Amino acid sequence: MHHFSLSVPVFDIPHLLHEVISSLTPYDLTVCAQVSSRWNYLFEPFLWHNLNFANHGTITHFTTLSSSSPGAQTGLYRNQHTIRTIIIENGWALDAALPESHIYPNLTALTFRAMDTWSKATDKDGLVRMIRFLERNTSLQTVRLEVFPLHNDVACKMLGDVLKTHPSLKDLEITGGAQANRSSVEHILRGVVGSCSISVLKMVSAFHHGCVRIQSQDPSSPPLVFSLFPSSSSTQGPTATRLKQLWFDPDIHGPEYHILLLALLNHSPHLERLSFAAPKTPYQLADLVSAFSKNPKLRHLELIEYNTSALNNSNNNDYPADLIQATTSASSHLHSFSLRSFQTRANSSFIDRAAHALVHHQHSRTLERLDFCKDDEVASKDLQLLLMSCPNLTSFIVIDVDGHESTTKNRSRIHIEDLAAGGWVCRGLKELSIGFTGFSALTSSSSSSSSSSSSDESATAQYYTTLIYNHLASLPHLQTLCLAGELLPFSVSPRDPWIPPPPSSSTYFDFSLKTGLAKLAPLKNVQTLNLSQWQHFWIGKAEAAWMVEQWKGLRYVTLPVQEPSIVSEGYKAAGHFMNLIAVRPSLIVSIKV
Amino acid sequence: MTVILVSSDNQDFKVDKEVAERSILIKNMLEDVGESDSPIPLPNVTSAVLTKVIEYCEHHRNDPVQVPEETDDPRKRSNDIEEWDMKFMQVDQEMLFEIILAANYLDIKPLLDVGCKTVANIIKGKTPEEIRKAFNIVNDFTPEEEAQIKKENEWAEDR
Repeated sequence: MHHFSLSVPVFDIPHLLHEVISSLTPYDLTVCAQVSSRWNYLFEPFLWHNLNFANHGTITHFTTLSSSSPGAQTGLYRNQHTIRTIIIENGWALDAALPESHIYPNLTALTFRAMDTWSKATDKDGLVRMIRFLERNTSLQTVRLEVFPLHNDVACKMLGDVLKTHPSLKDLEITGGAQANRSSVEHILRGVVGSCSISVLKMVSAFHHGCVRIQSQDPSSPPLVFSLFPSSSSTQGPTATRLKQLWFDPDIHGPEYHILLLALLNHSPHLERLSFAAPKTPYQLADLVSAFSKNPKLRHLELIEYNTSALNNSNNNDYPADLIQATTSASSHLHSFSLRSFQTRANSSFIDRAAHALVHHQHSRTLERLDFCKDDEVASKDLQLLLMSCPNLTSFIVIDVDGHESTTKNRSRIHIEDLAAGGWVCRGLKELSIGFTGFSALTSSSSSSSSSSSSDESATAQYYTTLIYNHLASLPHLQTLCLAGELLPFSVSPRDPWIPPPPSSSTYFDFSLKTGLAKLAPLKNVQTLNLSQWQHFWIGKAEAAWMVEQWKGLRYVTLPVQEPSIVSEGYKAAGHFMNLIAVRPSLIVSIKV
Repeated sequence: MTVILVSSDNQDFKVDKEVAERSILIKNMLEDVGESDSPIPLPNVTSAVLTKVIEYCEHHRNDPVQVPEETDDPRKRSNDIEEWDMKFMQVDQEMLFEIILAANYLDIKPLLDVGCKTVANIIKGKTPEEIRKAFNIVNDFTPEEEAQIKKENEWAEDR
């Protein structure tokens, strides 16, 4: 008989210990550290890996302890080598967290959430101390500075100088509090361009998108040539050797946004990923396209904040389409393209042009990720065009299931008549968020016609239903499936919704076993099923059981909230899934309000 | 198609290839060797443990290949264990550790996860004394040391 009186053998293998610890809470860890000297040696470091100097009421938790309990301070010193990440929620914790001259040799990540308190004239010292801390801790790789005073020239100059010389910093995120001041931002950008290590820069607004609007520039203003390094000639000067990813949020930079963006692009020849705001004028667009020509490695573009209504003054109706064509032609082979917060009501041919531009600029061979979910509506034919011509797609999103906007915002659907028997080419798709429509038109026309044609309609509906199942079944790598349903004409009142025929009498794509759900057995990798934007599905007890049985990895199921006016078996689905949690404890069922 | 696995105490186990390949170690071995009838020796696994491991692999033979979780955030991880797995893990501690070590050696990630979660569940919510009892551990701290450690870490206790 063996006795494990000295140690638990599993804990002697570091990754197994780590595995166990990942399931424990910090409280459990403090208990483990008190068990024996061996357990203390094993567990205590993990307790000190990630420190959060949180704010409880008016005094930080840590400050309370460091003044009333010197033990915590001793612990901090004794474990300074094990500290990997620090989050500071409040400026008051600074003394306790970052004593002068203190170095944490293995610290890799730091988040400051305290900037707002410092930017008020009360604690300029704190800001300086924080920047000195960055300078001193040369092991830092990831730094988030939240609500940084981007209008404070002195602080920004100091930060820029530290960025230039810091040896390990790779990933920098700065959230701007107040409206930025151009010269202050320039200080930081010069630091980033001068850095030999920074590869990711994210400058975003602390406020909600669109809180501060960019002012349109005078459309007749000449092209801008601007360098971050005024002493050198415009296209010369240092270049950012590592900078690969850039998020540049228009909200914090105001009217100077494009000047700064262009300057940064001119100095960053290795850029691969760019999130940026669409230029507002054809002149700015021309500048941007010429700047892109100096960034040959750009592969991932995300356009944020675009509103065609802002262009009404420019009297240029083709401009939105030109914008898409110009930006998509910037890279010779795009791997991802996203449009965020786009409102294109004014120009219905816009997305049409976008889809064609993406396919015709040879991007169809390389595109991996397409995200149009914030768009008004993408035409059914364009969705089909993209799915049938981009073989490397892994992610295709046109329905916004996370947004809080009403379903009318998500009107992008594939019309069943546009489906082609050949199927989609993107067999490697992992994430699909899409909807199908057209069945209500079939049944509503049948109700007014004779009974003989009703059976024709039924046969037609069966044909399209099978076609949809076959399309989905040909995507064996799907992990996330979000489906939206029937798109009703605006004339139909929400109080009088289309009530689909129950599976016993007719057929349409409703996820019931009767119409062919079992065809989806090949989707072995589905983990997430989101039907929150779907009105008419039929998931009974048998359907829910089938999915849990067949899709072993199914973990997250999201269903729409029940509407009493709609009588559909589908709305009992949540209950059916809940009953299956006994079989699959990892299942998480949620209902979207 | 079947393969023969040989435990450390020289017992032969005939199992379906599909079941044996739940072990990435064996899967890779079979791929390297190609078509071959020669038995696979597993010198680190006793027959008692191998019996249990094969039972697990039989039950989970049709599971999809585990995809690594996108979030590495431990807080988002679930501690839930499926009913069958929970019953399967109701063994004495010695066997539990041996199963984990075998899963580690044979590279069967889902079994490893379930094993480690089971160990974590034994620890959870206990006092230091209860943990000592559960794992048969001797407290080698002096009262002073114990007080010092408690003090240094107490700030984390109600996080």
